[in-house]
Amino acid sequence: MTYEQYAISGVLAVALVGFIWGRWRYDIVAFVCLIAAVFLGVVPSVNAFSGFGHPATITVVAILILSRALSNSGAVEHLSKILAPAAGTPATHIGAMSLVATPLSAIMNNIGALSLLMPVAIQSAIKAARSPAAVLMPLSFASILGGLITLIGTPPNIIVANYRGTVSDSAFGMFAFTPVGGVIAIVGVAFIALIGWRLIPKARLKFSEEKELFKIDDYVAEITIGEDSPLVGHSIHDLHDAATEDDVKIFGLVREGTRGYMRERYLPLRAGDRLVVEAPPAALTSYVKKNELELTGTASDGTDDLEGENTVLVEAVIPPRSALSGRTPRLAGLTGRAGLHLLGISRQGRPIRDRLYQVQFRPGDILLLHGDEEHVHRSIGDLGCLPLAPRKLGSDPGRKASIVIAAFVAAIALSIADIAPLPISFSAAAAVVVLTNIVPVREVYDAIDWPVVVLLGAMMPIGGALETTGVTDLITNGIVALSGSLGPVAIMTIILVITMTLSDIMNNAATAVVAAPIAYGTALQLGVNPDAFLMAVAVGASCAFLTPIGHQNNTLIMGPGGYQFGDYWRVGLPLEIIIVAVAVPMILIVWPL
Amino acid sequence: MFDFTPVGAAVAVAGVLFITLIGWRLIPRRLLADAPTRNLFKIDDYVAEGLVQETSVACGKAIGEIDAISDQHDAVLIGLLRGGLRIFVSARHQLVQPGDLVIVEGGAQEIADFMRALGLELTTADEDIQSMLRGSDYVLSEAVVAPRSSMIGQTLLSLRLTGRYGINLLAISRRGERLRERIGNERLRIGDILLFQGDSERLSQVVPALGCLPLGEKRVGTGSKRAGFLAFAIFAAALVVASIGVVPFELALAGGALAIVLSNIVPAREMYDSVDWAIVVLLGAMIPVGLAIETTGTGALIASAILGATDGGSPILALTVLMIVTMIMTDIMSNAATALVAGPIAFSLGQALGVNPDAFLMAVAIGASSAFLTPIGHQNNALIMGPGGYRFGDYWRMGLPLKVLVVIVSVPLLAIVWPM
Repeated sequence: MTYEQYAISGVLAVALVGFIWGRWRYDIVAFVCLIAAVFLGVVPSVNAFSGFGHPATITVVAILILSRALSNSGAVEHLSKILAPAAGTPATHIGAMSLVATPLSAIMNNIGALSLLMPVAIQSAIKAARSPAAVLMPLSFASILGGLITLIGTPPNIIVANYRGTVSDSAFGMFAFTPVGGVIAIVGVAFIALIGWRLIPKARLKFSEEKELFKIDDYVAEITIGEDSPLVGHSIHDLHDAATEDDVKIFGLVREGTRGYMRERYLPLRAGDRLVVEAPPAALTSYVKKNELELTGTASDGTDDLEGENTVLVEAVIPPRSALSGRTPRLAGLTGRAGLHLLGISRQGRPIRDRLYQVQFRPGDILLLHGDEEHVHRSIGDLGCLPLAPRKLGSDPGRKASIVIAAFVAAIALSIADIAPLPISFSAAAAVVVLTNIVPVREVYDAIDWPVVVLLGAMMPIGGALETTGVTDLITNGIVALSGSLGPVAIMTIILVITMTLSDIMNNAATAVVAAPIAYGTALQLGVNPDAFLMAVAVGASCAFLTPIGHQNNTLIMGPGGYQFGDYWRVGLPLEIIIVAVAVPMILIVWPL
Repeated sequence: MFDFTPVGAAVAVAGVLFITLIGWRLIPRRLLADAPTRNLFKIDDYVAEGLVQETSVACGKAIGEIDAISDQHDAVLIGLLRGGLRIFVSARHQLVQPGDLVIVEGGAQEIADFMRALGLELTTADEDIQSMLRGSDYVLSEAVVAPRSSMIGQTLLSLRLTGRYGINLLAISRRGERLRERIGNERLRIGDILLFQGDSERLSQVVPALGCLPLGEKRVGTGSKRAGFLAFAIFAAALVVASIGVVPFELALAGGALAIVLSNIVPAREMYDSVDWAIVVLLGAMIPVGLAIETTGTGALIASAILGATDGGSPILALTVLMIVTMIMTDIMSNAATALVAGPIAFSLGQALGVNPDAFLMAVAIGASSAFLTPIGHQNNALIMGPGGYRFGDYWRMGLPLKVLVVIVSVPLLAIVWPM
């Protein structure tokens, strides 16, 4: 091996370890590796940032903006409402949800499709007295499977298609993935709806009314302020910090029979006022004793008590890579917002009650928020959380939806008719949805998943360097030599399985960038059709069903479904086996070796 | 890295000297003559109290409703006084009782209409109000809307500051004029000055988070000294590495940015918020356009037009014309876009004249950065418009002489430092 080969192999090894370790976010790992590769002299400095303008990167950005437009249009909720009556049996319920989720994620990003449908799925499940856990994992898997169907369905497909464009006459087209991906998606969804959901642990499938809501009754109490209480004369606002220290949350005031929440923060308290508080029993007792208060009793009507004229309780989930993760409620500004109270956090199905304000948020946590209806919903949006109840639809979803769909169709038509290449036509469509204000200008850059963009921008030159230094050849030689007498079909299957396994533990786009050149080289060495091998990489890189960390969608449903880390492989492993069993013959039929 | 320094520094020194010695005198008298304590929001003149009586329409209404009614009458509800206690508009569900004093701000006619609509008895403003407005925990704060604020283009009604952040926005001032009409529906613009009212601690958090720059004297420092020093050291190191030419410029800066993130001075979760994506996309989109100007021969065409206009005169004349053209362009479009478009023209010009194009490229760099004629030419000019009380036409008075000076200083220097 030459110096260059050692250097780029080292960079790649560091990147893989960094991705799997997960200590730093993958875009930072990738960018460190890119800079290192440039300083080591294996990526020429003129090419260092070429990945950021790469057609694949631009296509991903355009699709993210179009996905936001689709989500803003409100068309999806409308569509899923029509299918709501199908919730009779789990199989039809999952089938109906998948019928929307799978085609939707074929044209938009997977997590966008899931976020739109998750609230609908949860509500319809509770209405059908079914645990949301029975529906959410199937929904997540169905949306991942949908990504396999078209070129724009997932970043791995875009990367593989573009890679083919650089090494042979033309890139894969919009629907080149459809024959293989479509069949896999149909078989996969059928398996999930009929058998797969039964493999979810029984404990998660059991429906109980209370489990679906935080049990807050036990914790809400009314305390009356005595004549001698040191609290007299202070406002709730003044008391807030000290009470939070004591693990007591004051969120209401009852004076002369009238009840108010939040807005009375600045009124000085008087003897005889009653405070509505929420606290664990021990904290409550000590707080009452310390401040000479009188426990008037736990509020008998629990949650109803909190849902006043304008106030609501809303659950919201923290999506992967939210700005909230790693922050405490105080840092996130949740303590300082008028009209919004954090009442509880639920992590993996278990409520967190004590020392709530010191908990660090994690993706997948569910927050229970209380406050004025409109403010709560706005704040959830500001914080980048997803509410678990469906949104109210904006006015006139029809007009917006038709513009978005027209933009999509026009972009696809332009690229199929070879008038404009894919990145150009989809960028133009993205510009249309911005100009028509479906994605307002101030929202445009929020719609883009920048870590993925930087990951792609940084990994492209590294992938290129793997080829130019001949490391790809070394690896393919190794694969061919190791596989010895195995036929090309067996080798393709191995590549598919390895890619699948890699994408379960690291980002799927990074997997595709590294695996595509290796698959291509191996096919050339074996003297068979490289397209089949590239398809195997595309399928493998998009399939991450074994863990909650392999795909953002699986992370997102973890909290709302109350799943554990070990729940995923029970459904995911059989599904991955079925995908391999379907993918290999389908690839051989559609892309003969 | 420092190729720009000889000419750039000379222009900067000359320019600053001009501004401090002569330039400021060119600012219109009306702005200079104003008292130093010029108060944009003269609250005392427009504040009135209304007493709620048993028979008042206001009786039994929630403060939120009263606030909505005050909006209809173009008045601003500031709060209530009940038995000496202050109740703020943020207590929206609090009901108004007989004996309450409703404090409202606005024009005389608006206040009268408001009082009539609610059946309030007008009383005079007194010390109570001042104390309410300037109480210890509820303070007034002025802030200017900065160019990248998320508030730009939004209305007060859509922002719902009271509900979301517990602060009130009492008034807007634009270009030195207090907005009087329906401020609730007014779309905010860069440079607007906003008068906030709220808890001082909350204001200090919320106002910067909204993308506003506080105008008060109080500055809350963020970040530790260590982080500041480290950031400075990393920046300096990146610049040094870049300037000695060991590694390309962009790579050194990218490495510096990476070091800032890895040392957690800018946490990974915040790193993409600190990028001005609008500029990134502008550059990304304009670079190929600039290239097309060159490849299609348009650059050469414009270059020959400039040559024709200068009648085959000396390269110095062409250089001067190029710089002036660039300066005019940059006043109406962003300076980055100007540089991208004018760059290829400068290069073609140099080639057409058969001289070293470096001087022409430098002329573009200087010209593109000299946007002094209008508030729209540069974000900085837009930002000071509100706080300074300037009008659109105030900029050229000082800007035009300054531009002339820049041309006079830089053209001979360019010819010396970058011989043609």
